[in-house]
Amino acid sequence: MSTPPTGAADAAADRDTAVRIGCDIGGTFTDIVLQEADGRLHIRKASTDPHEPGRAVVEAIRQLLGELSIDPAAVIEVVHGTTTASNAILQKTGARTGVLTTRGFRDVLEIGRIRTPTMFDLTWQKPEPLAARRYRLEVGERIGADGAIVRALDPAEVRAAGEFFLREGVETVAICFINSHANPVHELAARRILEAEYRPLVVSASCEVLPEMREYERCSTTVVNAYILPAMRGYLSRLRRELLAIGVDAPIQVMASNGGMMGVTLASERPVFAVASGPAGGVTGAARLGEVTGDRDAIVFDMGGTTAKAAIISAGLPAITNEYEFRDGISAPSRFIKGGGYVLKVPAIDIAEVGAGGGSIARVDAGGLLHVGPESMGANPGPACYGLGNQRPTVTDANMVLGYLNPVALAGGSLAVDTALARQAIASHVGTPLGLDLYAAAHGVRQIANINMARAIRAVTVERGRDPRELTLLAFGGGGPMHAVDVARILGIRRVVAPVMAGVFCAAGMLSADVEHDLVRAVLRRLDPAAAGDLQARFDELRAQGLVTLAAEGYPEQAVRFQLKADLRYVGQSSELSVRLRSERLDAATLEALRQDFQQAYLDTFGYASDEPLELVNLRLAARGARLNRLDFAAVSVEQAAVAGSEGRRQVSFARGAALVDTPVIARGALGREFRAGPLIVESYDTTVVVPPGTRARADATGNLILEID
Amino acid sequence: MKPNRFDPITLKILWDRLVSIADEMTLSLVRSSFSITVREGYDLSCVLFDGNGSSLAQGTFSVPAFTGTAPQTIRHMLAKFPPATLVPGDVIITNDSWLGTGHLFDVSLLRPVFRDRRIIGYALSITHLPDIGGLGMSAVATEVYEEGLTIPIMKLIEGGVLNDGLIELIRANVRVPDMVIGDLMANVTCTEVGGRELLEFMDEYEVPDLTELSAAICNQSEQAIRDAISRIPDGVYRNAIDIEGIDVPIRLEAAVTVRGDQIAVDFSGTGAPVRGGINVPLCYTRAMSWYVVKCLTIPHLPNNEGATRPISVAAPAGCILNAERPFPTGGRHAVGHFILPLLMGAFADALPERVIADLGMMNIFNVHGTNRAGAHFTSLFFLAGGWGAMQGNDGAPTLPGPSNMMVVPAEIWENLTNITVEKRALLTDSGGAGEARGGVGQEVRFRNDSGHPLTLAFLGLRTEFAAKGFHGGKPGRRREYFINDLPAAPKGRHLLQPGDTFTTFEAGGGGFGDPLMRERRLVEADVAAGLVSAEAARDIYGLRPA
Repeated sequence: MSTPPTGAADAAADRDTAVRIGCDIGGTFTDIVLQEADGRLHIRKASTDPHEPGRAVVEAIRQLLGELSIDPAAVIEVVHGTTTASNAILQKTGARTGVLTTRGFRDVLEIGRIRTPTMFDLTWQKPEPLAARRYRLEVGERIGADGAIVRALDPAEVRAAGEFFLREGVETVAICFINSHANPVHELAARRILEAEYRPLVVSASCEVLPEMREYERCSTTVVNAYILPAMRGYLSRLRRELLAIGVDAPIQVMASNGGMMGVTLASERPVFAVASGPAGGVTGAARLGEVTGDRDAIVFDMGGTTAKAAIISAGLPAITNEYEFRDGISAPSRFIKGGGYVLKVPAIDIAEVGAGGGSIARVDAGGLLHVGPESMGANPGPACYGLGNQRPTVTDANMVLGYLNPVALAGGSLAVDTALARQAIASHVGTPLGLDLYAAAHGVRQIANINMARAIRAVTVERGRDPRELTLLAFGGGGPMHAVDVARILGIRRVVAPVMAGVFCAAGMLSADVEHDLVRAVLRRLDPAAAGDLQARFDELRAQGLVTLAAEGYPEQAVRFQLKADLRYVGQSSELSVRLRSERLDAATLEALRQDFQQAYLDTFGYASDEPLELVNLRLAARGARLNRLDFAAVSVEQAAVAGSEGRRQVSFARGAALVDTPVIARGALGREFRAGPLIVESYDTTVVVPPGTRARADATGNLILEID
Repeated sequence: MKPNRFDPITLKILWDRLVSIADEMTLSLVRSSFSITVREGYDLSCVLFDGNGSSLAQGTFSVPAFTGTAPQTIRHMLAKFPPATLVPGDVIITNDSWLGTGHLFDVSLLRPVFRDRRIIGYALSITHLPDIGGLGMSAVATEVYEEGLTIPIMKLIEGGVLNDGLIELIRANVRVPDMVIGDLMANVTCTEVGGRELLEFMDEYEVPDLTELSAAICNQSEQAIRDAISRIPDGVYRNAIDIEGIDVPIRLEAAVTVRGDQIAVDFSGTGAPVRGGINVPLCYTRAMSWYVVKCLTIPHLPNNEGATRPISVAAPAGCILNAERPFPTGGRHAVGHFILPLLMGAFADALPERVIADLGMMNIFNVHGTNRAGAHFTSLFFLAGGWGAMQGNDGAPTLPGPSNMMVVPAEIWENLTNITVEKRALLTDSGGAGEARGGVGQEVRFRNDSGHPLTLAFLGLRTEFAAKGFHGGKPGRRREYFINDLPAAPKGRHLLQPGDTFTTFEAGGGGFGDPLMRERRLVEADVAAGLVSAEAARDIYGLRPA
């Protein structure tokens, strides 16, 4: 897949010099999107090198700049979705990590919170702690639940720990003292000692990473931060160096899990905020795209090779969660099955992920039930039809059997496939054991995958009190537009949008992001009018902190926007709902509006509300620096090569038990502004859009495909 | 069994969705609850039933015992209030020890779900209430009447109208009325969520009636468990164990008959009930027996009524596993949880690759007191010993089995109670040695910094009889209690003055296989982590210097 549709011929024409580059490293491909000042986009896919992921990025950028005859000095920004952090956790390749904690609490990380997510399976094991027990040390100190110093910190013990860490080759330390959310003074003192006297230890203090209650969650988050910090820092400085070597001297921005960008400095200190860096770019892009297509309330549906992800956009903003769990396998759609992974209590786009992608394997279990995923064949050996040695059926093979996919080659002709291998895999592993014919078996595989993906969508809609039928499905990723209409039908969704460049949309989305910092202050007090003065003071502190951070990244005050939220609950409860404050003036009227908004949100979520008194637990401030030249989806244009494709007709099976349908196949660029009725298959370099009977499709002014379902 | 109208694909889809509805109920329950026991400890379960009252699906996070008592509870409820007499908006309640979960502290709520004026299903939820009056959860009662208020099967809500009289009665009988009523209403809400989603599910998939789907799901599970039982050689598998009682040890005995695709569990030979709150109603004995058989046969399939059909459970009247009113049952888990090691032991030789060596067991203590701000509190605290080892699988450290509670965070606990958690640390050498090592227990130490006296009730297990190892594995360390560093009665109710401390050393799990066969690198890793001492590595595991 090394033949990129660069459209080099017309690229040398006059252009403003400023160029921005977005890059998304996936498990299989690294996607690069280059944005010129006039909105023209160029894309390139390169194979990901799992050992040196930065190398493919730099090499692809170098080639792309060369082919477009763009001076590397014209690049003003590189926005990056990196898997460095998540891979370090998955592959257990993070740094040797130590923990410094309060005497008596060495094992918080290992004791954890839960018995088992699998009630009847007695073999279950807890996730292996990222800091070995041997490197978890205790020191004398104690803060009370009210923040009072019960026992002063003993600096001699901190020094003894520092010496032990250096002697043992520990590189990075998480400091997690009990009740530090209520008073950080001991953690900060211990950090100063370790940083000043025990170089080169790098230190993450829990009061800075996550100043919130619950020692396990805070410790887990801080340890993950410490564990991935050296890898992230090394990766980013290497990337910067290698980009400089090819003449690109531009700031690097890292996508954060919350969909904003963070500068290299912050990403090197708080990498735990960028663990879900990759998928965040797609959701952010989808929110921007929705502004252009008029879909400000939408479901984001991103289907790749291994997983599919769903997120929700409300009034133009992605839904954010404050806690998620990162696990070795694949996240289940129910956020309830906890215990299998590492708890991260950081703001992240609320993404539900299921193990259903093009490479997901279909199998029949001993009880005669068909399962699809979460095991995946990835890209190598990939689906059976690739002919690279895998004989087990995948979702892609099912799509091939049914006629959705080009039977000769994929990815603009660069990847040869063999339909016979797909048929054989489906027939022998699914059809025969279940007594189903070939097409019924292939529909079965596809249907299970679709249902799994619909569950992910349901997890972020129905289970949040949102009716998916009122929303648009924004479908992208290599497989998204191929499954979108069927998934939409399961959920009663009537409108689907497949964005231009759906197959590399995450990289494009990154170019549309703002810089965003989420700041939090623990408050814990009754919500009453008397709280106003105190809350205003804390908000002003947060605001000042946000302005300083953004100023350091080059955003003047007039480019900064704030969004203030409060975590509230009924007195006596321990789960909070985040509610947006209507004004930055925290007077009695604002607080009363806040109370009413909480009641409404509670009613929406749980179906009832009461007049019990409320407690305000945290204030949260999102400080956003607006990027003036961010990618505008209303003004993009893509070179012709990216929307070219083969033309012809194929026999397609759209429904189980129904006859094959003789279906026109057209190139993406050939679809006009007028609706055209399905059945129709629309092919392009990066994806295939399936328009089944009973559906119609058209292109909008910028090349997004709009599908309507009858 | 009827032929299955649903093909495997459709069945899987519908089945998964039912489980996710039960999960959604659980989420709603936890988020709207007021007690630490529910919101941090997860002492709860949610179950969906079809229109005939057969259990269909349960939440992924459930308590093993509850998912077995729920199908029994609904039968009692529908016997008292026949379905034909129910109307939309009804919610039935009980906490009766013999009709519910085996003790008064758990409340079971049931809501019929109507569609076109017909009951198509039921949503049921169970939570452990923060208080039910009486002595509080402890082993010291001599009759159930001392353990608190019994709510017979009644309507908490009738046609949408709350039974204010019942609410008032409950309020008057408990120590923390706001918290108790708040938790009751959280249960009411979650059954409403379950009902609503069940109806949406039926609309979405055009399932007019759950009966046929329910039969297909239950038949599938029944067939799977029958197949698995068939693969166990026919025979009678026996085991007997001694466990801690109130004054003297209690003998538990089981004979498990496997014949073809059926299993009959008989607890004849088991000792008599005792004058202390650890007696077990038969509903709980059945639930634990079903749970163990499922662990041994089809651990990976979702649970429902079908998985219980081939299993019969008998315990003679007048034995402690079939205790009758008015024997007290507050800490019935302290005996009932031992059904797991009892039955596992019976199959130790026949199914070595599936059994688990003895667990260190979960541990509960109950406190009530007053915090520094003057607010009354009453709450459970969940602790856990080490998990048992299995063939090729070390026991995990500190897992609360055979139940499924969550650890209460020290920072939440201290904030509510002002009882300081001084230490929570894994215990070296507490896991039973073996080729696979038993899970280690933990030491947990508390100090009463509330400024007020504190009432504390222990329900200790494995204080006299350690978790046994299987196939040559060694036993785990026993559980111990200390108050102000002096040994304390493991099933006692104690009064702590301000500044007093109490400590538990949680039991380790049993090992599996000969410790001399343990891989050297695993022993070395345990020593490096401090889970096994150098002496034990040398003396028990035979580790010689390299």
